Amino acid sequence: MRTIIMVSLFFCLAQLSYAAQTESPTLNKIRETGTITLGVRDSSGALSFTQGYGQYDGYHVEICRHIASDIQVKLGLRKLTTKYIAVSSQNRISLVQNGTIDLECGSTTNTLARQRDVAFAHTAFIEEVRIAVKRGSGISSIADLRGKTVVSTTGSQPVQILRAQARRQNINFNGIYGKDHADSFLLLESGRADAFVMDASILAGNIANARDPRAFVIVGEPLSLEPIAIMLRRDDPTFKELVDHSLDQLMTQGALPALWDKWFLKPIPPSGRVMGLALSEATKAAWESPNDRPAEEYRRFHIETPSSTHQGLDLGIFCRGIVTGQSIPNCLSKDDFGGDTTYLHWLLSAWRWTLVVAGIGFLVALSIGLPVGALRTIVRNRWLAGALSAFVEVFRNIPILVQVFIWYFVVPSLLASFKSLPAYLVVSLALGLFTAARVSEQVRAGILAIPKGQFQAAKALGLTTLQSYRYVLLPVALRTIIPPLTSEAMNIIKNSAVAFAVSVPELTMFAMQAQEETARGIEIYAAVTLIYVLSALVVNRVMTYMEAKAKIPGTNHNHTEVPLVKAGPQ
Amino acid sequence: MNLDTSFYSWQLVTNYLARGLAFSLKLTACATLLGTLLGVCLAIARISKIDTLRRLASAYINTMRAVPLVMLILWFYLLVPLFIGRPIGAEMAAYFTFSLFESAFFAEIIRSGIQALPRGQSMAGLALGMSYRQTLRYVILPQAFRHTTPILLTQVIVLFQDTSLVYAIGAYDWLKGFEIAGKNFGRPIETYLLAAACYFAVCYALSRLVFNLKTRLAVSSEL
Repeated sequence: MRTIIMVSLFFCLAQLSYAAQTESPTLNKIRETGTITLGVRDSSGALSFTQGYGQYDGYHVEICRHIASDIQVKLGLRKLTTKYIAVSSQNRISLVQNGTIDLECGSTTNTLARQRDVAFAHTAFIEEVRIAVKRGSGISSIADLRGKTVVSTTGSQPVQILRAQARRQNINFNGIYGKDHADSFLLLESGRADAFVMDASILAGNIANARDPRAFVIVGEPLSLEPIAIMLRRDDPTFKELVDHSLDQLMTQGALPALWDKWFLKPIPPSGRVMGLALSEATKAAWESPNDRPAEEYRRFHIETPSSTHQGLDLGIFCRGIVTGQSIPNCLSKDDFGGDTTYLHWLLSAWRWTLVVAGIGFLVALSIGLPVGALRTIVRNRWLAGALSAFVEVFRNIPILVQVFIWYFVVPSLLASFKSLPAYLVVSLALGLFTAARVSEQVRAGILAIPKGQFQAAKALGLTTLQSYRYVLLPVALRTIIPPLTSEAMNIIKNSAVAFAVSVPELTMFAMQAQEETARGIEIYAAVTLIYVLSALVVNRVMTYMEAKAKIPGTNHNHTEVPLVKAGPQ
Repeated sequence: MNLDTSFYSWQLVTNYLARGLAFSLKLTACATLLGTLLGVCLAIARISKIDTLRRLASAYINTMRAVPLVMLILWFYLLVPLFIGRPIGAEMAAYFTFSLFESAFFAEIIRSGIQALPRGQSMAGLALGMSYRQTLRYVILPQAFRHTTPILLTQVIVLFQDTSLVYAIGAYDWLKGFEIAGKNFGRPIETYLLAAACYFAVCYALSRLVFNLKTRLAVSSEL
């Protein structure tokens, strides 16, 4: 046993101490190791996706493989191994910077801000941000979005672009966020959103995958153009030159149209779907005159990113408008910001959503958990007992994230009446049932802990079973379970963070979206964490107060004494 | 509703799910092991005679228990690189965060196990001439562990479910495996249902195991 523990400990520490090193210029590294490492995405449409264990493919991946073979020729290597590492939008830039990957072949927009950290190769793909709607919805341009529900994906740029566009044209719409592109599309498909604003290739991919692709159309002018480029390390001009040269050859010798056909117009693995994304004028223009211009040069209007150059903590970020990105003076006392609102107000509204979802959830948990727990101690009928224990086991053995998703997307397609339930109620219900399963177990344990004699005495006095529970057992049991109920109440506040998965604009969603927009992660996360801790503490105080109030005078429910020392503060 | 389950296959398991399940299990195992070690230290600190130590430990435990795990994961992923000057991978961040987070929960469970022991046990240990450390090591902790093993294991099941939260930093866990398969096959609803069934199967089997263990331990302690 001891050896096993030591071995697994060693294994854990080995995992922890792993870190990428390598600082030498890229080509030297490739020559020395005989290996080139490509950063790829698991699911970025036809640009870059996994075929399964260790296999990656897509338009950008194939271009990267072509570049790799050019590098092999250039370096005169007999053999060059290509390694793939899956990256995410959160870690791709750092992995390029620290040398873990040599080329990132995914779906990264070339922006000025990112050029401070990494370099981009010549653009081979220009993305258009567009609007997908259901066929026959009557929406054909951004102006038609007035009063509609529009979904986009958390932490992505189109949200900001749309917000800025809408403000310029004075259009009010109800913006919601999906956890990822697939969820955003489900919101459109299930009728919870009227339009999905996103990169056209992502829209096309999701439509191609839908049960009935003909039910959806992409409409309107592109809201913006985004050059999507292969990313490489900064400060390695020789390497960039080589990569650009390789790309230029592909572009000028006409190899790219065939690649475009293969990935965007013909069936692709794993399921043989067809993207159906026609070659855009903008992409064609980029092939004709290869360049690495950043997104800013493509934009027809300017989006303010409120990223400040402020060193250290910058709390002023909370007083900036979410549309203009400008500081608003006296933002604490003002209510009207001319159609704009500040990050502070957004934060406070997110807090309210968190409390609403957790509050309703806890009510559901108590009103279901108490009777279920009490019933489980009396029920003799085998079927009813089985049903009750099935309820508890199902709701506590599936991750809450999965449960929320099922309540939101799967249940409405079985029960039509569920469709009209707003997202926050769905999450409250899911959280409530998840917590009810746990509360019921505590209630049951609380009742079972009471000596049998109590119940027998109550019966002997002529009380019915219901009366015995009401006047004898429950009053005692409920008092003993206040401490575990306190943890459940604190837990439900924390667990409400999953609400963002179904686009309730609560604290965690605020944290992720505002962090993306402002690039001031520390201030945003600190504020959100503080609010969570504060909420949990208030709940804790309230429950402690209730515990003291409910205490039967003269009884002492102190925990067993601390061994070895005098009882310290609990 | 008509479900399209034509893509449920062995390929789905080997290509998408196996890698995620392996990471979820590794993460659970690591967090359990490191979490228990750190948790024991915290539990001892929490009932220590030294006031500062006790306060520090309880501050740590209370903070960890008040912050949502998702936020903690995001923090760790964002902050640690600032201190050590280079980015850490999503998986590494997950190993650290989960170990630190679980240690707070394990500490409270172990402390309750220690405090539930009759005071006579520690007195007897001291009376036999053992030192404080020896009493803890040979008398108190073995019993506390024995009593709290079912609760610890139940917490491990919760931990296994919580590994699904690493989606926030893009690590590839079991749920992520389902999600990616769902996206690439274009069948998210079917894969989420499959995920629910798979998680239920694993967690339910584990909770039965814990239940059996609990009855066994309860019987043997009465003897």
